[in-house]
Amino acid sequence: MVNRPVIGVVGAGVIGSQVAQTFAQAGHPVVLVDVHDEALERARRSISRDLRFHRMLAGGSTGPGAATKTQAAKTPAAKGAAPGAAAAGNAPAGNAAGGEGESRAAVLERITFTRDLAPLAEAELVVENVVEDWEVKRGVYEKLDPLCADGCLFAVNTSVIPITRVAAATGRADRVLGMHFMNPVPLKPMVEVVRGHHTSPGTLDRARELLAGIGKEAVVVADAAGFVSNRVLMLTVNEAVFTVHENVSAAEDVDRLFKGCFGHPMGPLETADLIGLDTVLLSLDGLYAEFADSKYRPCPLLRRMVDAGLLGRKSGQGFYTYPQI
Amino acid sequence: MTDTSQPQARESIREFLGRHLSGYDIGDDENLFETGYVNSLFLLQLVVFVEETFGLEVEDGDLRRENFCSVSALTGFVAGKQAAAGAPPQP
Ligand SMILES: NC(=O)c1ccc[n+]([C@@H]2O[C@H](COP(=O)([O-])OP(=O)(O)OC[C@H]3O[C@@H](n4cnc5c(N)ncnc54)[C@H](O)[C@@H]3O)[C@@H](O)[C@H]2O)c1
Repeated sequence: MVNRPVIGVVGAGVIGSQVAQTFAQAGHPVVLVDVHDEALERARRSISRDLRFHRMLAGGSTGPGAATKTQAAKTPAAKGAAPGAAAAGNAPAGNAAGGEGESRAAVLERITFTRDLAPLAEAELVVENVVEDWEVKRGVYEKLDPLCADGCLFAVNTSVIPITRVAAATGRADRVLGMHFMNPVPLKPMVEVVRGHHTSPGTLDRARELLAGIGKEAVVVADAAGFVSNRVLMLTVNEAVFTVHENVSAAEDVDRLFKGCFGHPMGPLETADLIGLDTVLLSLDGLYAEFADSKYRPCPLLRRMVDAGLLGRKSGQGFYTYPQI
Repeated sequence: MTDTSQPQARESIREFLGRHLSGYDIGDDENLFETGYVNSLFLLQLVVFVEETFGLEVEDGDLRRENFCSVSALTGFVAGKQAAAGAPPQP
């Protein structure tokens, strides 16, 4: 395999660990940084588990169409998705990764799990996935900027924080962009790429190239809180929570309607459980603050569930119960 | 494998999936991987369930979609493993 550039991944939570895994599967050496040892340990376990089942999840053994079939169901109208999806998951992730050819150990070995930011000096791209909290993110960029190579690109993986604001916290605004990865990262063929006010065309080209190398197609959108996907999704999720809050419907029935009537593979409340209710709440709070528009007001039930520690899949309980192991 | 040869195994697989698919009522031949519920955590739970309930070992080579993609496929997979191990079929 050709030598692939080092990728830095900061934040080893739900999404950061998947981003690290995906780059490692495509052959990149990856430095995965978190402030918590437990988060790093959890990331190692979940990556290892994911790699074990990757071939099955990507549909490897039933032929190259399998992975795209589920994806196609999720994006029925996406004409551009078909070629991208066919290249995704299967091509780079399939042959370079986890599945048939390579052992789990080989992929895991490519990932350095550490609390130390220093090794990021080697990285050509740093994908930042720390908690959705501007003060925390700002602190991270203030440390990264002097430490990383001049040519290093910073990709902000955020649900609603404007990329231009993040870029302003660095001295390299032209090399900062948004990469909004979708959960589960190893299987999703597309990334919403966000062009900040100062993001240069060269940065976007390089980002597209790096993403193509891990089997992902980029759709570039301009910088506005929530971009396209989260702005629309979070409103939908919030409204779904309101219907439960107001006893209009049980959670199961809300989801059944979306699946049965609209052909969505998952309903909005299952999706919320998958994303994490705390992350959903932070996103809504962020949209509310950014647009100063009351239509983003988080449903009180959502806030209460988060206060009660019912965070969805990651805590074992959200709108549904998930047996913990 | 058919209904008649493995009714108990089929029933307990159905029951397990019922509990784990948030009430989604899955048909015996419906593809699990197309429901949107399947992730690696779910698959791990499914493998542990199969191993513990039927007293068999799922090896990495068994981790293929055709073995796990539906109630019927799982029932057939369990029967095949049990036959190979010479173990008496158990629920
Ligand atoms: N969960 C999703 O589906 C999803 C999808 C796209 C984007 N995002 C965005 O990705 C980011 C992370 O989300 P998540 O769901 O993975 O959250 P998470 O809470 O699971 O993980 C965040 C991680 O960041 C770590 N962290 C906190 N401060 C840090 C610091 N200073 N340095 C290094 N690590 C630090 C935490 O220990 C934690 O492990 C958020 O901005 C979120 O909006 C999430």
